[in-house]
Amino acid sequence: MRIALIGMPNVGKTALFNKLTGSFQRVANFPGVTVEKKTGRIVENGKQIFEVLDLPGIYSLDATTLDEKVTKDFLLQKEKEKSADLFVLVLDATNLEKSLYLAFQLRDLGYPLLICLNLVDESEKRGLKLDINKLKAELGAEIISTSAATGRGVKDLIQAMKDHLGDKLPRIELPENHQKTFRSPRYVNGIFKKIDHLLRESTLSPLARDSFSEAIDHWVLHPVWGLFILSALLLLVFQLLFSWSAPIQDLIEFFFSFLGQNASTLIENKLIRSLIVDGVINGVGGVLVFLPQILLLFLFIQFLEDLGYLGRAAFMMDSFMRRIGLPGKAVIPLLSSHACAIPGILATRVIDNHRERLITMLVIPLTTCSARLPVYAILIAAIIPDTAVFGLPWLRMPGLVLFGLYMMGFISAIIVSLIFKKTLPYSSPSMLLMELPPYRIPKFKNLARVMMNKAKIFLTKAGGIILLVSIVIWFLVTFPQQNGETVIEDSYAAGVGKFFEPVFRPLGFDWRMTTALIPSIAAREVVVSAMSLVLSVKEGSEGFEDQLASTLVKEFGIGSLLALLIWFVYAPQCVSTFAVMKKESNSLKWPVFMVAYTLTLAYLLAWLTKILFTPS
Amino acid sequence: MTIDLAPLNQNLVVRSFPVSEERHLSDLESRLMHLGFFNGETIRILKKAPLFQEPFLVEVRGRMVALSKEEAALVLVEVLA
Ligand SMILES: Nc1nc2c(ncn2[C@@H]2O[C@H](COP(=O)(O)OP(=O)(O)O)[C@@H](O)[C@H]2O)c(=O)[nH]1
Repeated sequence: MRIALIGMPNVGKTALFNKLTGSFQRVANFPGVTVEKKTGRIVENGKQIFEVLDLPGIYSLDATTLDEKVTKDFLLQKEKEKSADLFVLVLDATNLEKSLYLAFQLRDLGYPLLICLNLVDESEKRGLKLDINKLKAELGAEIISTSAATGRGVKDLIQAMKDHLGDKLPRIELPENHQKTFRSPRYVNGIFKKIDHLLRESTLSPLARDSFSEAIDHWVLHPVWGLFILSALLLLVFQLLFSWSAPIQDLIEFFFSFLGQNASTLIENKLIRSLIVDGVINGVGGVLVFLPQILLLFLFIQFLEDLGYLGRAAFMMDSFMRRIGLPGKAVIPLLSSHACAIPGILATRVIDNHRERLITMLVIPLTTCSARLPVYAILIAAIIPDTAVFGLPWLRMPGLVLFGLYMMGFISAIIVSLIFKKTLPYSSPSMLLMELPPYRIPKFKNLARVMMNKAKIFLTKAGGIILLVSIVIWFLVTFPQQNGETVIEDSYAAGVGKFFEPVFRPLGFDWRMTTALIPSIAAREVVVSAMSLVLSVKEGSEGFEDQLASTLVKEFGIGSLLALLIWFVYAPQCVSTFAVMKKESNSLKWPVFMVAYTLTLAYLLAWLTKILFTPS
Repeated sequence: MTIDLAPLNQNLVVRSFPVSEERHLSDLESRLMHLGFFNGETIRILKKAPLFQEPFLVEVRGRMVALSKEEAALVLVEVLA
């Protein structure tokens, strides 16, 4: 038997779902859309008694957003897989004026309901006393008081579900013209009148104001202190991603190089050794190294979300972000993407509007991720003289150029998002319109659960593709062999490089450069070692970077190297970005589009740079 | 006047979406109405966000709702005498 949890956003549906199903749950997407689908099981004595679904939050049957439409489909029982045998309606006891709306709407339509009055721990603390029998009589449904935070009443809720075992949902016919009716002021007003009446009748002692939240908001939304707190938190995200995760990442890298060395000595066969060490271990290591950043970021984001702060941050950033074409909530994904695009794209889940979420995802690859820094460092060292700017000894040209590259990425992201905002198909209205929830203390268990989920999505969905691409690229640079030796000039990769050489000739890249760009598809940071390979500069030797830099200038000239630098600002990111975007946008179309538009930008701007900076 | 022009921290009565209204409402208007912005309801504007003096934070039917300037401009209000 399938039970669906339904309710307005923020009534504690998910928390309750977690309490009901414990570890028996699965997170996926509904087919064809990016709406998260959470299914779980209630198991008793090793046997499943219920399948439980956590439906997206819905304000009313006049569904305006994609999430709401998914939930509405369930209520209308349109398809077999989108249906339930019983709906458990979750209400927020601290905000009945709001959450009773759905109760009346569903009751009036004739849905049999089981009502769960959640957050009673909070409402009792604030002095609310209700005449539950009156509520039951008026709503014509069983009402169970629960607290998803303490677990109170959860057993009773399962018991009440069991009383409905075997029930089938009757076929509900919506009134004709229901779309129009559900949206008419007369209808909406009618329900609100019923709510007010019922609350007047059944409230024995009223709810006190949430003075705790009001006190905190005095500071958090303060014109000066509020901005100060927000900046401090954003800085903290940056720190977290750049510095604090670095030691753990070093450890992971160390572990994999250790593994690689051991495998090298253990495996006799040269080819298999190369496959395992260069292909598999490097590939997997290159994926796992992002994990600390992803986990830390999500720990932080979920903490702020559960605390109730994220909505406030969006409130404060919204007017600024909207001027650059993005919603307030895009701040954190965009900031995170400066460390790595993958956590950035995963973090776009905080954006409710699907179109805006997509736009944010599409422009994220333009921001400068940390993996590009080694490439920038080599190229800047090669072509930019270390001179003071404006005669200021502390302001050096290379630093200024690096800063310029960052700004270029960021400003391009803004321009592109403004263009997409005008041109991409419109799906649901872009609105800020949101409730700010009261502050609540985050629960460690929930944080841990979200982190595990993110790690799982990343490792299973992205990991597979990344590993595959690593092996393919290993194959391309290793074969064909001559007398058991790899000669890079004759490899398949060089073949591909030579094939594309004519395309890149206007930029001044020859086949060696195009060949070196191939491994960078797997991960940005390997392009340095790839370049040294094709240019026969021995990596790890004394003064390696100077040597590589001078070889680059000698072989390609300033114009082409600047073009290469610009190429790296815009060119599509590593394959992991593609894989994660495919997973998160639930389509192949958008990641392909992302690659196409960034490639175009990269080519055109690099070409322009080449023309501008080549002395004639 | 509309919410974006109304004074802070005063009781305001909503004058939008009266029951007699027959025209088709947009998605946004519908959402506003469902959040409690309908004719006769009393609301209060609590804060404007720093920097650009928008969005607005409004208390309506026991909850705090954030509205952007465009959204605020859709709701008619009157100062309660
Ligand atoms: N004190 C308390 N907090 C709760 C309860 N149920 C949920 N919460 C918290 O309320 C917030 C919103 O809950 P969530 O499950 O995400 O709401 P959803 O949007 O309906 O899924 C979270 O921070 C929960 O930890 C409850 O019964 N008591």
